[in-house]
Amino acid sequence: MIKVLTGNKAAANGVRLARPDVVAMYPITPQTPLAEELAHFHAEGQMDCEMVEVEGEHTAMSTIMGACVAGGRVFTATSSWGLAYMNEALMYCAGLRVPAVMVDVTRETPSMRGVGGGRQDIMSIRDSGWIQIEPETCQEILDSVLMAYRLAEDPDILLPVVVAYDGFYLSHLSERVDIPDQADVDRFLAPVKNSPRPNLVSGRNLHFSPSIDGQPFAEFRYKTLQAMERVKTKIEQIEGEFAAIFGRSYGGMVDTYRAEDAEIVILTAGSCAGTARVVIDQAREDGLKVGLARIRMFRPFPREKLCQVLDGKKMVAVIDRSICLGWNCGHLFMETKAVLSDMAKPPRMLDFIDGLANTDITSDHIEKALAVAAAALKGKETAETNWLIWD
Amino acid sequence: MGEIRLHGRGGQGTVIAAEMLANAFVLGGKYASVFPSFGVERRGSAVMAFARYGETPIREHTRVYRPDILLMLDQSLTENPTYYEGFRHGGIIIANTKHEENIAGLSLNQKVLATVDATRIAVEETGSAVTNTCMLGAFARGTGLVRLDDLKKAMALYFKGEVLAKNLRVLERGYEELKVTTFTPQLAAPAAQLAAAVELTIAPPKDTNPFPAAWSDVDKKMITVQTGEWRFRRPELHKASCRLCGWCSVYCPAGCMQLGEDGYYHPDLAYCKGCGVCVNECPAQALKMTAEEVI
Ligand code: SF4
Ligand code: SF4
Repeated sequence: MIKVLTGNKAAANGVRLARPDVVAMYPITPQTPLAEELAHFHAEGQMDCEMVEVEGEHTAMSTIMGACVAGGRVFTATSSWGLAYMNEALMYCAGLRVPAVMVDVTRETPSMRGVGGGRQDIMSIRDSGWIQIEPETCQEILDSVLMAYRLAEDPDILLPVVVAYDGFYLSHLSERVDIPDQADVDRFLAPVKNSPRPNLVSGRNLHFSPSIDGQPFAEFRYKTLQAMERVKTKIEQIEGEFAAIFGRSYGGMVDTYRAEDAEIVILTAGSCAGTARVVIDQAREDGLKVGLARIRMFRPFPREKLCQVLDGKKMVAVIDRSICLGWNCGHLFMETKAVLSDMAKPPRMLDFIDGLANTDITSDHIEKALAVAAAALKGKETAETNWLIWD
Repeated sequence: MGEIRLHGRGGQGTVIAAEMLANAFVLGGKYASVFPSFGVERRGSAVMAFARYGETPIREHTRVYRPDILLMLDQSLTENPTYYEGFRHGGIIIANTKHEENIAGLSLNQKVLATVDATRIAVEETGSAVTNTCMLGAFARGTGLVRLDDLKKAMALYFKGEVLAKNLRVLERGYEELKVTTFTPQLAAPAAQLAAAVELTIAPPKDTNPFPAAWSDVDKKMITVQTGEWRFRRPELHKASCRLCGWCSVYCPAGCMQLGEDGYYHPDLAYCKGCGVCVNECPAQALKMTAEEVI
């Protein structure tokens, strides 16, 4: 069914269609409309689940973790300080390999008073063991929530997944969304009770915490690391199945656009990739060989795929919506730079910081980044890290 | 792809109007996207919403800076040139006003200027000055881009019963009573080629950051929000009833009710946001909310 939905409502529809058993959330801007929509679905009887009203995010995460190890399919959503507040529980969740699914509506965290969008919050948990998917459109938000459950609950993976989408620029953007039929979703995502994963059941003594040290603990971590690596092939397989049923796919871990013959590649993530596509089309008309690489999955980081996409390119212009304090650049830049040494012919890289604290990543800004990248290719000297926010 | 910017005040349903518009486009088989401006907007403050429509999916996820169409929901905004910033020459302006000539006088180089007294229509039909549905009717007629029927279907997603019935009437009157004037605009020169042709480096930031540290001198560098701009009504004091208890100043959430030289409490109108808390709390009923004349 075609509807006009905000990113938050698209996410809520994805959750509804996934038929979770337990949902626990605490509202926080810009996630609140998602929490409201789920409460609305529940009140109308459209969701057959426990809706737990919690007093904070730490409890929200603890609640769904408990429900998940008892065999349930679970959901929570948060943003910014809420994510920070649930940090202890979410580390625990990933550490135990509990296949929970969460939405983070990204927002600045260290700001003095604002509630601006930005991707700083989600970067704080990048090495926690959560798989991280970053959609570009409202449709992709809905679809990613469905794929997130398949990924999390897969017996080869068993890791929690966070779908992190841009606060305001996606959460409050309304666009045309195709809401899948429940029957099709049921074909894609089977009821969780058939899952072969280990669950707490009565009558059986199971220990719900790896309070172990030394080698057994190290082995547990080793296996967790291996599971994270397996995500790279698993996502392709799951997305293939998704495409066969729903006719939509998003390029696996790295989505590319006109990148094949490009000399300059704009590398970014999230909602601004859409604007970048428009700028790329324009630049192509002006005779500039430009393409896009959109990091769709940030954890695990798509090392191998990025090597394929970027090897032999002349320049990568990264647009970052978060800053990596201590590296004088943004996170996408820092992590992509780490991949260069895997390449036979690594490109040069420039970083462009934009979109912090709700500032807009405009087409003018992206054009400017492109201009600087083109000038640098011609030998003009420029800083490695540039800020696009001020004109 | 076309770009629309909506201007209104908080509480006039600007964002919902934009959403209904997007629904109408989609019902008509087109693509559309919409999002609101975000910030410290409150009831009464000037707000914007950005909309795009087209035959293919809308990819831009950014505000609208160069609108082809402006939809002005609030009369008091229509004569301020700042709200027309970036308007494309040869575009369409649809405005809620009785004074079309004042917009025509702004030299905006529009192709179409369409006006309707939406405030009056809204008050007559619904008893409140919420103009959004009236202006949607005006949009349908002034641009020809969406069908009135699709707007009606879109409205039914947001309203029910009597509210819907009244607003459908408002929508139709917006459509019927719109006054459309066409012009021969002077078209702007085509946009320069992409800046990529230009050699460029990025300038360092201007030193405007008010917060070199969180404890910097607020008097000199703090950014203030003039909450008085949100106000559409103000408290007025009836001195004879006032007991000088100071309760109003204690309760004022803006901290702007202060003792004046005349020995009475008065709001600092630069910050009084017109919330009415003081009126509610005054034990002597010495304060009364009155409508603003001009904002
Ligand atoms: S209306 Fe009264 S309480 Fe509200 S801001 Fe103005 S003075 Fe303060
Ligand atoms: S609360 Fe009322 S009576 Fe008391 S000082 Fe204010 S206006 Fe006067």
